[in-house]
Amino acid sequence: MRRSEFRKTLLLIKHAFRIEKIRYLVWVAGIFSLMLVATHVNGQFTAEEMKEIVILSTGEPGMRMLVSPITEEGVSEISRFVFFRFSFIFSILFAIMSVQIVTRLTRLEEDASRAELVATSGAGRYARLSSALIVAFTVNLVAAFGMMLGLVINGLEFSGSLVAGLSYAGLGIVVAAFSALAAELSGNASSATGFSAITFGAFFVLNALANVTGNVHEDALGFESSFLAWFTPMGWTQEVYPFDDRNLWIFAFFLAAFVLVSLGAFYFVDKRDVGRGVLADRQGREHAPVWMRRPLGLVWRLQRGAFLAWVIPVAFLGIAFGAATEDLGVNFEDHEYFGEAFAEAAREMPFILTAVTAMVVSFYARVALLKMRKEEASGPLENVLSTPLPRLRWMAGHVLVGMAGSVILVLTYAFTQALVIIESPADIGEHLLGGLVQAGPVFLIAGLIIALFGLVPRRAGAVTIALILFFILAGSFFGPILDLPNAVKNLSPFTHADFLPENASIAKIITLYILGGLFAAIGFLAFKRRNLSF
Amino acid sequence: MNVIEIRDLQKCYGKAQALKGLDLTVKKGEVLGLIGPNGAGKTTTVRILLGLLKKSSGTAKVFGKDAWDEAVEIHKRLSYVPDDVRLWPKLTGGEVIDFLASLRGGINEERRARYIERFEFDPSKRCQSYSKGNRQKLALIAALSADVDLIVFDEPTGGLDPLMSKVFQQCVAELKDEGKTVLMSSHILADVEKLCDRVAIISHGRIVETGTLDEMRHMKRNVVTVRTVRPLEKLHELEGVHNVQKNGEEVSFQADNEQIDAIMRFLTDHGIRSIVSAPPTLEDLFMRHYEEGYKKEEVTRHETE
Ligand SMILES: Nc1ncnc2c1ncn2[C@@H]1O[C@H](COP(=O)(O)OP(=O)(O)OP(=O)(O)O)[C@@H](O)[C@H]1O
Ligand SMILES: [Mg+2]
Repeated sequence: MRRSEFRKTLLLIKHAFRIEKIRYLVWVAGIFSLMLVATHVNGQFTAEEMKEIVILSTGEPGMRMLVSPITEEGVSEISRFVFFRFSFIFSILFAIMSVQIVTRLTRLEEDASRAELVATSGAGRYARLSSALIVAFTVNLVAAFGMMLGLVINGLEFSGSLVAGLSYAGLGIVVAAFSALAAELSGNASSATGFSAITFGAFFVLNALANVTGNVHEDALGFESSFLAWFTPMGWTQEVYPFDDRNLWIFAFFLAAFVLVSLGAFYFVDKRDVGRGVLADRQGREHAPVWMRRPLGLVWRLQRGAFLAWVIPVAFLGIAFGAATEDLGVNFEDHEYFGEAFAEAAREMPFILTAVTAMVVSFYARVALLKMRKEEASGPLENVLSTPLPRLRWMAGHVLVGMAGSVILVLTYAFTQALVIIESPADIGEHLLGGLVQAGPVFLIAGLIIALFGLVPRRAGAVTIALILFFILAGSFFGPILDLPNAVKNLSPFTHADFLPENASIAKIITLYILGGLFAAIGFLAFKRRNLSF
Repeated sequence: MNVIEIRDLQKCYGKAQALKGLDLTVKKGEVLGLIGPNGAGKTTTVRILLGLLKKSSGTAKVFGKDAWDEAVEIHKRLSYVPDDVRLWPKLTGGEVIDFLASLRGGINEERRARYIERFEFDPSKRCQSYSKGNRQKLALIAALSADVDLIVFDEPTGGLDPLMSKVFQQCVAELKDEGKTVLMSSHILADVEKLCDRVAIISHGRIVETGTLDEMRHMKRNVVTVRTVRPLEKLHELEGVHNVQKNGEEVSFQADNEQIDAIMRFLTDHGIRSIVSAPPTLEDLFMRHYEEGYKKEEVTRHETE
C-alpha cells in the first residue's frame, strides 16, 4: 500500500460533502430528532410502568431479539429504558446510513462512470475508498453527537449520553468497512448493497440469538446476553452499558474491526479494475435461453437475484424466530401475577413478528418496483419500448413480480415460522392467514409505489423511501412505542392490520388490497400517457 | 408514399421549447440525414417519432399512422438504434440481441450471425464490460438483424472506429439497395455525404434547410478567390460578402448568389488579374448553419439574462 495511491483523497472528501451534504444532514437530523422524541415520550412513563414493560418483554425470548440487555438497577431509569426499547431501531438506522454512504461514494459513482473521470484526474487508486471510509467515519461521529444532544436536552447525563451515541457510531463504522469490502468484491451498486444487507442481517441474527440465549435476571427484571454477543458488533454496542459500567474498552473492538476490514477492502482494490468487481465477469452465454426471450422471462431474470436475496433470509428468520418463540410463556405460566398476561402475549408474539417482517418487506417492494425506474432512467427501456412490446405489458411483468413477490415473502415468513411453532398441521392456516393480513399494507404500499412511478418518475425514489419509513414508524409496532396520536397512526396502513387474524377486520384488509390495486391502476394509466423521462 | 411525415411539430420540456414547428418528410426507400448542432432537437424529434415522447402540438406520422396513438403497430415495422445505448449490466450481449429480436417477432439466426461477424462482436461477454463502441455495435446488430421497413439511427457512428464505421456504411448501402427507408441523425459529415440521398439541417427546433446534397451545394453561396490590381479595401463592407480572408495578394471570400452581380462589378472596378469561383464544400455549408445556430443561441441567452 503505497502512500501516493492516496493522492487527492482530501479532494474527494470535499467533493462528497459538497454533493451529499443534504443527505447527511437528513440522516443526522433524523437520528437526533428520533432520539429526542423517543426519550421525551418514554420519559412520561412512571418508574413502575417501565418496570412492567421491561418484565413483559424480558420474559419472552422472542421479544428479547428486538430489545437490548438492561441491568436490574436500570429497569426503571429512562436513560437505560429508552435504549432497552430503541437499541434495535438505532442500530438499523446507523447501519443503513453507513451502507448508503459507502456504497454511494464507491460503486454508484463507478457505475455512473464518474469514477473513471476521477481516476484519470490524478487521484490515487485508494483515494476513492479511503475518502468514502473517512466520510462514513465522520458522519457517524456527527450522528453520535446528534444522538447525545437528543439525550442531553431531555436532561440526561452528558458523559453517559456521549458514550451511548458513540457506541452506535462504533457499529456504524464497522458496517461501513464491511460495505467497503462488499463494494470491492461485487460488480455493481445493487449487489454491493445486497452483500452489505446480508452482512448486517448476520450481525442481527447473531445478536438476536445472543439475547435469546441470554441470562434473565430474577423476576425478569432485565437480562444479560450470552457470550454470542461478542461475535457481532451489534452485540458490542449493547455491551457498552453507557449509563452503568461504561465499558470503554469495547471501542477498541470497533476500531480494530474497522481497520482490519478496511484493509481487506484495500487489498481487493489492487485485485480488480475500475468498474469491475473481483467476483464478476466470467464468460457467458452467446444465446438467450428460450424462457428469457419472453418479456416476463426477462423480468424474472432481472428480478430473481433480488427476490432470492430476500426470500432465503426471510425463510431462515422465520425458522429462527419460530424456534425462539416456541416455548414462550411456558416458563411463566405459574407466575402468580403475570401468568395470564404472558400466555396471551406469547400467543400474539409470532403474529407481531410477522407484522414486523411485513414492514421490512415493504423495502423489497420498493426495490423490485423501482427497478422500472432504473430501466427507464439508466437502463435500456428506450430500446425495449421501440419494439412492438406495448408499454403496459412491459410494466405488468415488473408489477407482477413486485406485488406478488412481496406477498409471497410475507407468507414465506409466516409459513416457516409456523412450521416450527404449530402443534397440529391444522394450525398452519391461522398463521398463513396472519401473513395475508400483514401483507395487505405491503400490497397497498406496492400500489402507491407504482402510482408514484407513473405520476412523478423523477421523485419516486425519494418519496417512496420517506413514505415507507413514515408508515413503519407510525404503524402497529412502532406507533404505540412512540406514543403517536391516533390521527397520525391511522395514516399508516400497518395500523389497520391487527396482529391476530381473529382481531383483524376483514373489511379493512380487503380495502387495503383494493386500494393497492387502484393505486397500481393509476400508475399504469399514468405511465401509458406520459413521456419517458431519462 | 411518405414513410415519415412531420408537420408543424412542437415540443416543450416544461418552459423550454425544444421543437418550434418542425416540418419533415421522408419518402419510401430514401436515406435521410438529419444534421444540426448539439441541442438542436434531433433526438427529441426521433423520440417523438418512436412514441417515446409526446408531442406538444402538430402531427407526427410514421407509415401514415400517428406516432403516439399507434406506436405498437408502427414498431412492428421499424427498428431503432438510440443515441446512448444502455444495457442490462449482468446480461450477455448475445442474450440482449436475442431478447430484442424476439420482441420484434423472432430471430433470424442467419442475419444475426452475419452481422455479429461483420462487426467483429463478441456476444458472450457481459454488457457491463462492453465499451461505448461495443454497446453501439450491439444495438446496430439487433436493429439490422430484424426484417423491417424503416430503420432509425440516432448518431450511430459516434463510438465506432474507422473500420467499423466503414462496415456500417456498407450495411446502410445494402439497406438502400433492398429498398428500405432510413432516418439517420449524425454529426459525422463524411457519413452523411456518403450515405444520404437527402439532408435536412435542423437548428433551434426547426428545419432550416433540406434537399439533396447537389441542390444544397448550388444554393446560396459561392467561394471566390481573386487577385486584383488595386487592394480590395472596402470589400467586407459590401452586402452579401462573408468571411473575407487575405493571403498575400490573394483574397478569398464567400459571396451570396443574389448579390453576385454587384460584387463582380466591384471587383472589376479594382482590376481583376485572376479569379476562381467554386461551389462551397459540404463543410462550408454545414459550418455556416452550425455557426449561425450557436450565434442565435448567444442572442437568446443575452435576451434572457
Ligand atoms: N428531458 C429534457 N428536459 C428539458 N430539456 C430537454 C430534455 N431533453 C432535451 N432537452 C432540450 O431540448 C433541446 C433539444 O435536445 P435534443 O436532445 O433533441 O438535441 P440533439 O439535437 O439530439 O442534440 P445532440 O446533437 O447533442 O444529440 C436541447 O436544448 C435540450 O437541452
Ligand atoms: Mg441527440
